[in-house]
Amino acid sequence: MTNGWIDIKNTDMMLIMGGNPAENHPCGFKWPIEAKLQRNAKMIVVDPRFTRTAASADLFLQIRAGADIAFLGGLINYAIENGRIAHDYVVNYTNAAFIVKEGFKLPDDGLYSGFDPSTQVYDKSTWNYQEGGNLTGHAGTEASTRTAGARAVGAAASKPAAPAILPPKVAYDLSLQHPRSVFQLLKTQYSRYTPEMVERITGIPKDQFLKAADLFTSIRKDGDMKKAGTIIYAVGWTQHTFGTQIIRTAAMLQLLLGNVGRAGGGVNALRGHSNIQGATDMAGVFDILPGYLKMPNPDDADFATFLKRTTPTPSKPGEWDSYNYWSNTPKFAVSFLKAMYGDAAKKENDWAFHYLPKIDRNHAWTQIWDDMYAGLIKGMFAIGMNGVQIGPNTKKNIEALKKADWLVVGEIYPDETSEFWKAPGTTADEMKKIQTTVYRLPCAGFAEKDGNFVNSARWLQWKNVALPPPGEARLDQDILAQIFLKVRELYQKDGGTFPDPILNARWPYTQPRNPSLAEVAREINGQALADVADPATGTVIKAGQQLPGFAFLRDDGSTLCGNWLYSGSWTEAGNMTARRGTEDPSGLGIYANWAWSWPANRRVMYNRASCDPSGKPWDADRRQVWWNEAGGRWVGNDVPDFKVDSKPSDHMGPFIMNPEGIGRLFAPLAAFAEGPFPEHYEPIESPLLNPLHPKQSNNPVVRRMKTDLDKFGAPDQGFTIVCTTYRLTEHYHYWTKNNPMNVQLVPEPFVEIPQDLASDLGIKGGDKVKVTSARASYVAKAMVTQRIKPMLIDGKKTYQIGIPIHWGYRGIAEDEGMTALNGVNLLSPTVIDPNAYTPEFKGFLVKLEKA
Amino acid sequence: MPTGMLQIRAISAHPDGVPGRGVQREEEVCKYIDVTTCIGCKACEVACVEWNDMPFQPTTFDNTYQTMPATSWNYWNLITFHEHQRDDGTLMWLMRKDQCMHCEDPGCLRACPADGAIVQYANGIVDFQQENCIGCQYCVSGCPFDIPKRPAVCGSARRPTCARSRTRARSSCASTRDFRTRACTIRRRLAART
Repeated sequence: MTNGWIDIKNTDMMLIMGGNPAENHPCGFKWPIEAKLQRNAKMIVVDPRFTRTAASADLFLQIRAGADIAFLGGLINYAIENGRIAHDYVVNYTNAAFIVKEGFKLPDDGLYSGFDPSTQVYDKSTWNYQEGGNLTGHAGTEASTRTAGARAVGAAASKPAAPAILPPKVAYDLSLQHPRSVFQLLKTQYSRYTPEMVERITGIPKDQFLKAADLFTSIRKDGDMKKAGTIIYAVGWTQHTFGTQIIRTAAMLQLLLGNVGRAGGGVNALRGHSNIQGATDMAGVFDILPGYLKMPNPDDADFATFLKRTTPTPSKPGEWDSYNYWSNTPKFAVSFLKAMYGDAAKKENDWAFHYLPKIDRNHAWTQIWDDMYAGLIKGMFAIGMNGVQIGPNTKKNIEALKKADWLVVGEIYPDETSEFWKAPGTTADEMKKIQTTVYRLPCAGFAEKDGNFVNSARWLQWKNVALPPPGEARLDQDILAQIFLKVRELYQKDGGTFPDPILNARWPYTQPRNPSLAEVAREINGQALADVADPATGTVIKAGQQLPGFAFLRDDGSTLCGNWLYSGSWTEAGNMTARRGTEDPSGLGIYANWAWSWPANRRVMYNRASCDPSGKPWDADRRQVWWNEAGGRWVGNDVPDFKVDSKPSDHMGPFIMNPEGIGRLFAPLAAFAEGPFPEHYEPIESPLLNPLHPKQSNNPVVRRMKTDLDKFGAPDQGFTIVCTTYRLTEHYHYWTKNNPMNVQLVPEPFVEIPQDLASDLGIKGGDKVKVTSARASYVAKAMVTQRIKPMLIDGKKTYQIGIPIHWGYRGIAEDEGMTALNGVNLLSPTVIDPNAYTPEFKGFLVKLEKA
Repeated sequence: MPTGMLQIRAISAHPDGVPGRGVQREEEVCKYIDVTTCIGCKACEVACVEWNDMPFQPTTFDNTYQTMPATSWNYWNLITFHEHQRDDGTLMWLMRKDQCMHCEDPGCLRACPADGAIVQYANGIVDFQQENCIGCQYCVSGCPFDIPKRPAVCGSARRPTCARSRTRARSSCASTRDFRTRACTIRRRLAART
């Protein structure tokens, strides 16, 4: 979330799409309700199903799963066409005025400039800004971008150039009239997303779309900047082959409307687990280090090369200023290496940079299973996750585990992954042939551990142990520490190819075999290794003390810090994350003394954008931060997300994490795999060809897995029904099928089927139905409902069905043979988004019959 | 009679007046259910079952999100789900809460012939005294909301106990403690009793 759960109460307008907070975030949903009750805020819900969230909405639109970019692109088009944009915000806080390089081509045919069909890779050198100065009033007389682009593609393809970088001085036109200004390109790009086109792709009738577009953009009627609107989403947006670009489209819409950085605004991801935000922050993904530092790759010959590649330099109009906060990357990286390797990280050895693994290929979730299926990965630790059930394409994951040598599962229940070898349909003979050794470790549950959960609002909230783990169950850190120490002992004894990173890892814990999470949290916050002073305030932190925040991090080895974003969470004053102060003097729901929010206890990110260019809040009633002329500083109710002494006349951009200092309507160079502006592509399995460009229907740079088990279906094979998967409020993933209370609430799996489709097929509620995709079949009872209606997609009647994910082959009902003993991810396809590598769990094709 | 600290206002089938009647010591409360903000999360159902230590009972799929068709002798709090199509074709999905409403004039108490089986406290909460129940089921007929139920195996009827300890803390039944959107709260009764 750019904002936070409580901040939603400050909003005037909500677009909830790709998420179902009433069901999946019921506690947080009190804040949207609060906004409705207290501010008369309006709620628009767009979803393939009429959900419990939709039941609270002022306006509900049923969309075809996977058509989100078409809808949001239509909103952008509507906002521009009807002048419902935040003009001053757009000119000053986004790159709307920046001029794009000659040769850049928009995707009228589904492809941006630079595509090489043989490798499926883009040469992105034209996806860049033009170098230059102020062109305001000198709108170019060049030919239109589209024809210019056609020339440049060939040129780019024939001459491979050095890696492109952003120009330090960007040409710009504050009148936004230059034909190659970002604004004009954006306008052209989304002019194709007419209400008629939105209806053809999404299935939302034009009049309903216009109603929603008018309502959502009404906050900027007549240029008024007082109101704020929020966009709320979850994995309904993420789980597509263009999921990252859906979220980007939302961010662009929010920038155009001037909603980012403001109380009641923002782009707000609702996290589906209690600590999924923390997992990402702490690099629970393969291609980043903690705090979103980039992972080294094999071309990074030394630390200097790595830093040069990963530390951006400012790129902006010459007259503007850019904080370019990532210029601090060397401080964050050296402090991280000091936390990893302690005294072994020295200036002379590049701070032990070469101890870090260099990533030479993709190790994303779906790829790991592909590699195991190919015999490349021989063993797996599955702790706190049920890989067979998660899928996609469960059968492939089961087959992959059969090829592994060993599997270690840490869980609180016997789960499908640890019992993959007895998945339904496995014969006794087949079982005998499975050679995988499975180790099951009983683990502690969440109430049996202390430590931090990081919630969607980026709060680190310390929790205490409620009760000790039962029986032989152990804490995660207990298990992991003992494995690490044993591996280290083996390296010490027997040596190995490269023992240094293991032997020299810093392990300073009082109980090395079971480190306390308090000690780990202190290490993550960061400590001074020598006295360090803050030049701005003169404050000195003595060697050995906890650092007060990331401003104190150094690149000379005098500080260590496990994650710069969390610096400030456990200071000399104690554990900030355990604070429970309920004071809220501003009434904005900031609660600055409750827990601790990264970064720097700031509750709304980019909050400089809540003020106009002169430093005055857009809305005097919701004052977050403001420029104090007398003090020469930014002050406020929240912690300013800005260089505190940068006066408004310096024109420093509010989006300090971008080298441009502004919000990106146009994302240059390698920011995204498929283009600088999002374009609607069809899901890999789609009932139609893309009405925008039938010859380039799907995402051109999508990653499909390619083994014999990675099958994809098409309408001409009889797969004509769009299927989406989701969670219920009554269950938590694959856990609660072990808990009587949850089983009582919703006892068995079902498939939600529109009434019309059910009567076509002669299906009644409670009948067993079989859903078949190109990969497998799934059997469950039919829930016949009017909450999913048939849709007209490009003029053709199209059905959608929905399946909740919560059942498998181990659980109360499962063990009693009460259910069909299968998991819905048997059906889902092994194809992933090229940016975030998320599988397409939503919007794949199936057929349906009576079982 | 285990009435805890609460003051009694009415007693079923009791020959004499209520001891201490007329002495107003407690604030009158009532249950306030805002169906416009209920999201059907069923946390109140779980809270009720857990607080009252009622056993797990198997349910069956019935083409609905609703846990079971109606409340039962050991399931006192049920969210019911209703789909309604408006004239313009748009849908409403309505969540309603079935449970003891703590009537101002409780039909169950009026119908009950057993001395002391049903009482109404001075603060408005209606309560059931299991040990005084004779199993006649008049309360089942007397309730306009179809809440009291008689188990198949045991003789006496059952209805919510409404956790006396919680009432005093202004959170009468367990279900109001587990609100998600403040759809159900215990509030001070504003209208004067007649």
